[in-house]
Amino acid sequence: MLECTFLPPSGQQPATLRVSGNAGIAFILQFKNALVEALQAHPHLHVDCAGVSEADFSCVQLLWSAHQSFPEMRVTPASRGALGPVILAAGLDRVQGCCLAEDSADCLWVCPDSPESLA
Amino acid sequence: MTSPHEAFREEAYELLTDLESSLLELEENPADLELVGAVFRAMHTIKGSGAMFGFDDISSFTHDVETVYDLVRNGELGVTGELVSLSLAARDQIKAMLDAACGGEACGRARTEELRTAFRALIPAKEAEPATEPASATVEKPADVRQRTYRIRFLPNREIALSGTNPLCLLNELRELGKCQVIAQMDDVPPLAELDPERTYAYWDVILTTGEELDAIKDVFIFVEDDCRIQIDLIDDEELLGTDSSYKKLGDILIERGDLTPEALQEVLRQQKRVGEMLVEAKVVSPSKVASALAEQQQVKEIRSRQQQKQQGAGDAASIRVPADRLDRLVDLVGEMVTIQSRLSQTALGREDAELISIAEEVERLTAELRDNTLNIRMLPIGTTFSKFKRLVRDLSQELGKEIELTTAGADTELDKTVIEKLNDPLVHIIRNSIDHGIEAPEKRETAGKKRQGTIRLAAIHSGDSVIIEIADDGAGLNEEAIRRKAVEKGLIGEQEQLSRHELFQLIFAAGFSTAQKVTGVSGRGVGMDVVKRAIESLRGSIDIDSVAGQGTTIRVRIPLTLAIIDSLLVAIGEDCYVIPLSIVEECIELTRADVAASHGRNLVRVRDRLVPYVHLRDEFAIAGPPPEIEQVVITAVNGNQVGFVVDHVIGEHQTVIKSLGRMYRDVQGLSGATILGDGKVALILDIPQLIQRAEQLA
Repeated sequence: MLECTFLPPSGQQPATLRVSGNAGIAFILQFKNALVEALQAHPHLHVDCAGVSEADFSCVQLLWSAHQSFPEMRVTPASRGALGPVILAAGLDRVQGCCLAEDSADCLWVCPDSPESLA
Repeated sequence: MTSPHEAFREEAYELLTDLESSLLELEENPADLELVGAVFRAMHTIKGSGAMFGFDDISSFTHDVETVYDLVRNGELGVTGELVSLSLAARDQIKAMLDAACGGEACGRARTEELRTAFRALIPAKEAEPATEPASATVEKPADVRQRTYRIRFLPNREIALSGTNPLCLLNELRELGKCQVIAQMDDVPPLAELDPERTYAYWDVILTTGEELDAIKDVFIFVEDDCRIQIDLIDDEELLGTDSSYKKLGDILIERGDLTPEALQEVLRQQKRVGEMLVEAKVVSPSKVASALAEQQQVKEIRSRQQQKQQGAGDAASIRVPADRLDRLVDLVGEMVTIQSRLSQTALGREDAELISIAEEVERLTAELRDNTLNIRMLPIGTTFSKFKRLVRDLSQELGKEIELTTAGADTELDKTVIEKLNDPLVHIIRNSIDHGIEAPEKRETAGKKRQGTIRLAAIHSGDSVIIEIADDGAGLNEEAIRRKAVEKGLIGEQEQLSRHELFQLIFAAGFSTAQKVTGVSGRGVGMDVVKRAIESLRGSIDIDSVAGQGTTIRVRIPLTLAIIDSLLVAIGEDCYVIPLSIVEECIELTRADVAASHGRNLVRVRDRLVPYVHLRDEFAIAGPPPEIEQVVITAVNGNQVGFVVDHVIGEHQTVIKSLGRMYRDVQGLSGATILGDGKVALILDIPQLIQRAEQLA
């Protein structure tokens, strides 16, 4: 099961989409719909993936597409947790953040566990 | 489109067939490193792909077998007869699990666990005493493996994830093969609004340096190769390519990959910046493509500087996998084409138009070429069937306490795929009979002054438009007296009837005929040889037997190369046309009223110095109307016997596209199919062996 909870902005906190559970192919349509709805209203959306327990390439591809369409979107905890191994396996890990990221160290594709980024 | 699950099943069955052959060969050559590698790779592929497609039980079971073969591969475990037997049993169990997954009989879990335990038990036992087993051979691991670098571009089908296949599993499998850099290409991923998240838009570039053979890389993609685009290029080989530690320039790599045109490169080069930077700025390639090309450049430079070698070379297997049903469809279409071409030729001749005739002749030539090429595509070496029999002989001889060696010859002889498939059961019957009744027990052989080990020889050879398959054993041979007694008992022949040896041996093909003293699980129930004969004849083939008491028996099966389109002789009786397969036609002679009168109603015609019996087809098919003054006799030869068939006219040679008669006419005797002629009329194909049999019964 996938749960997507939208938290509106409050004070210093940006609008947040809290995602938890299985973000694999079986629930990816649900994830996309929640993401589109939230991003259209809040392009500076913070996608909190800390609770994602399962992910596959469809999830990473969705985040990639969202990142291209909404460069201000932030995903935490970047590539740690269930997303990390998928990003590594897909060959999407980067030593430096992509040109779209404001803070290169916080880029989705910088894998803190990858050998290159540790070097 | 074949689903990946279906593809997995198809490929897994093929892998299991190859695995069986490899194991049987390994039993004979236990020190052969390549065979060990082949067994390991097959297990590894079944395991990995099984997991990828959700066949977890198969994957988990195969893992234990693979572990054992990894030890063998590393020289830590020897190949023994016990290991081979266990591996063959494991192979059978994997097949049973696969059958069960395809809706077949349920597979016994107890057997799976029993085998799993046996494999696990092998590991510590052998580790404790490595290579000291007298009957084992330890495989030596090569000291230094030649490294090659490949560039792999993997473009998955966009539906790949929907079909349950995880493309990342494939990338992880590649990583297991050696130093590997994977670069995802995301250029085709659409903006969020247009993205269908269930589809896979990405593709991957992989730079892999490995000591494994190209086949090992291809094996990774074996279950998705039909639906995905996979390009594998050898880009560096420590033994074949240049000694220079430098490598191609970035722009050259991008052009070679098709990611950049030479013109675009030239345009950008004029600006004299760093190529990668310039290309990205100019937006002619994406940063990820540059990163991918740089990874290739860097990895090859690294490998080259470590191991400098020389020369240019290496090639790739130029073959593709095509589903069998597409080939069948192609053959059907070519069949239609042959029919239409025949109509065109006939029409052209009727119009007496020189230009049209010339075009029709050209179409005829091209159609014949197309036909031959298409039928050739369906040709498979008969060795694929032969390899199955090794296992049969091994298992049955062990069961019956006999020592039998199977030798094969002509495994490269090619036959139509359909023919090979249908030939399997008859050959199994024949070989089982040879093992059970032909080859004697070792003690009996020694008493008779023979080697303890008997031999069954399976050979195939081309003969015109047919293939002859010979199954010869050096066993006891047929007991002529026993056959005669049984034939009299069954009422097949009279007690005083004189038969030649050949005629006597043919009796074993009669229904329910068996001289076996006891019924075994293998044979002796009197069903078999008649079924074999019928099966061979249904393939338009013939079967012949020869035997010498004490020396052995030889069975010869003659099978046409193809069942789809045959060369034939077109004949006419009254208004109707009939087709006789040309392969059994010897000659055509005239039959006058005087000849008929001279034979005094015995239906015999003199062909040079021989009297040949004939069947009058006009009478046989009850066709009304008077025959012509001079009829034609088509002399055929089946199983070494000449028989004539009387027709009104012989029209000439004809390319016959065989069409089934359908279920309604399944039991009609003497006809084996139909074909459509150039003028649209239907001609029936005569089943000559059946017509002969029918005539013999009536005589």
